[in-house]
Amino acid sequence: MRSEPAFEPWVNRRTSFLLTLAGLAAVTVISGILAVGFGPVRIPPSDTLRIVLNRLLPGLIEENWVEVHETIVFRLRVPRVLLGVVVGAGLALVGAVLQALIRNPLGDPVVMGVTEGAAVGAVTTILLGFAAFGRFTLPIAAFLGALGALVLVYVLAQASGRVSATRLLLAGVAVSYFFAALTSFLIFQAPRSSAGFARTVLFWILGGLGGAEWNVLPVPFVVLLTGAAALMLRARGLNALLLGDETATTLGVDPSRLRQQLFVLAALLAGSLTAVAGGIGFVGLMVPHITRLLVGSNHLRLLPASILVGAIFLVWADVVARTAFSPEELPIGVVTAFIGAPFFIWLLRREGSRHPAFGAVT
Amino acid sequence: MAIGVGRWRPLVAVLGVAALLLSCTPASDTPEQDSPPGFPVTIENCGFTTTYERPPETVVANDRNLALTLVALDVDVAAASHQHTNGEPVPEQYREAFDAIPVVGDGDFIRKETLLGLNTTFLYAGFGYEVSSEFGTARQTLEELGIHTYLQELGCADESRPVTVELFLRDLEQLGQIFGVQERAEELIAEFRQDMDQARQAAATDTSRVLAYDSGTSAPFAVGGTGWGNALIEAAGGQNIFGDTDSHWIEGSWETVVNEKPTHILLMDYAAADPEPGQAQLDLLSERLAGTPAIEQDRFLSMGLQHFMPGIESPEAVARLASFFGESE
Repeated sequence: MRSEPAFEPWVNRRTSFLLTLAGLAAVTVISGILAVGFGPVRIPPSDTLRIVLNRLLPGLIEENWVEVHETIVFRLRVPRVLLGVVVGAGLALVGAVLQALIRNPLGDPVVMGVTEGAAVGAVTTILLGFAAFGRFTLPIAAFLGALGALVLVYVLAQASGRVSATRLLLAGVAVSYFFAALTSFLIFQAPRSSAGFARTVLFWILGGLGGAEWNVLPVPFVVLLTGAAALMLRARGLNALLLGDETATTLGVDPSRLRQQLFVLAALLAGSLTAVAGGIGFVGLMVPHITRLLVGSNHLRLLPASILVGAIFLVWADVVARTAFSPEELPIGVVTAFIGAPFFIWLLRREGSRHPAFGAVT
Repeated sequence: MAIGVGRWRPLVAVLGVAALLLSCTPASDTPEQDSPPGFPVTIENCGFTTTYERPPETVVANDRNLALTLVALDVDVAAASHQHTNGEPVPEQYREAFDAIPVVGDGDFIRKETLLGLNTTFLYAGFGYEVSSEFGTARQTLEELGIHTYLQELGCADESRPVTVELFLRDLEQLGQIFGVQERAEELIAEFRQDMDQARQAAATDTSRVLAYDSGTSAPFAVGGTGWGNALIEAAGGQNIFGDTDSHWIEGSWETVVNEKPTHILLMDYAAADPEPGQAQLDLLSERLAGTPAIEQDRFLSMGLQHFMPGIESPEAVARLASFFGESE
């Protein structure tokens, strides 16, 4: 009986976290189903639902919908929504990890040179007219570009075999600027200064989910699953990193070694996401902060919750992107910032006094 | 009648099944499955090969000029985006058919889902990005969804080499084959050549030095040396001041423009459908290009954006340019 007061709060926090996580998972699934119902072509919600159910449980439902609606729902919208889930989840996860890694609330794939690196890879390939891998050429080139930028950041961040948070951040910003300049230079000297080329480049900078197809999904999905699992195993280490290198060492964590591992994981994840969806900004930066307001800054909770919040956020951002000016499409990066920034500011102001972000830890 | 069918339903059903069974045996060569005369047609366009078993039925165009070309070829257009135009009416003889085309969007190309929603079987696209994997509309992807694509030849032209107005005739010729309307295409090609020759004859000697200004305040964004606008200016006997650059469009500098002493300035009208250039644009150019012959003699011509892209109205655009360049002193 005596131990109860000490025990109960822990149980409550754990239960309330599991409830939050279950709630978020439910919202993710419901968001995904609802999002399939949106698009420039009007399809009755009942048809949408039955088409999806028919694919999940074939043979139970009478197929009496318009055939093209099935194509639209199954070949266009479902992969697009799933790509939104994977990319949103992955970007939020990378953001959360980077913020701990560089011990800075501004951590975001964009700050680490990933986006700009991917843009350089894609733009160079377009300019050279290289197309050896068919429609996967650009994603592969973008991935290599992103990886190149990250390797550069990583090498620059090393000082006598150790990786410090500050060096990592500064190297990231420097490489990011360098690759941005390289992209601008390539665009500038390209013979194709026409609007079309600019549109293509803009995709790599602002991102978008329009390229979603079933055969695009497996790679980012597998990378997300393995990346998330590997990062979850290091969640306690991330907590220790936030306390500073010395404290982390006393807790039995090798900060430099852990940073190296985390960086490689984040790089692979960010690179493969950018390769399929371009540089979607703001998700990686903002979602972890929003999630901290919900579940606190313990990474055991923050990482899984961020994954779900990121998925929900990007799925809805894409719904806005493809319906607000239907049948035309807004670049999704415009939507994430337009919706995200004011919402984030509102949250900060409302919850500002009890925001368990970085100030509390250092 | 309805009652009759109801009563005889079993018999009708039996006959129906029998007919089906009978028709099944020689199924492979029923008339419907045969290609019409002249088909199948295989077209290689912009590095992509498409085989047409029959003329496409539900045809969609990604901008105004493309839709107009199809209308001129007597092709029924199911829907079109109205991008790249200032909204000026199309030539009278095509107006009725053109205005009857449902508009889907007016500021952008048509996306995959909208195309499918329209049951599109053929998409006429203008520029490469409209059929690219970034937007999920790669030609291979659309082909797999049952949508044949054709990209206008300018859309994949090597930008380092100048194009001539003849490029558009290849589009006409190939579209003629795709839709089995070769004769109409030949007529249009002959008409295009004839009108173009007439416009050329009216053209002045090439003393006009032309700036074809699109936009830009800190630097002018203008027609470069290899694009369609340049082809039109040259056909009209003018000389593009950026004529020796190797891109369709170019961001120059005000200094270069002043140094080239343009005698005529062409402006692109994006939306107003108003032959008078916008005052703000005139003020800017008058200030930046003060002292050049074009400003001193107030020689400006505003043309709809559509005229800076290939289309059946290109000879008319050249005629307008020729008469503009002909204005002396």
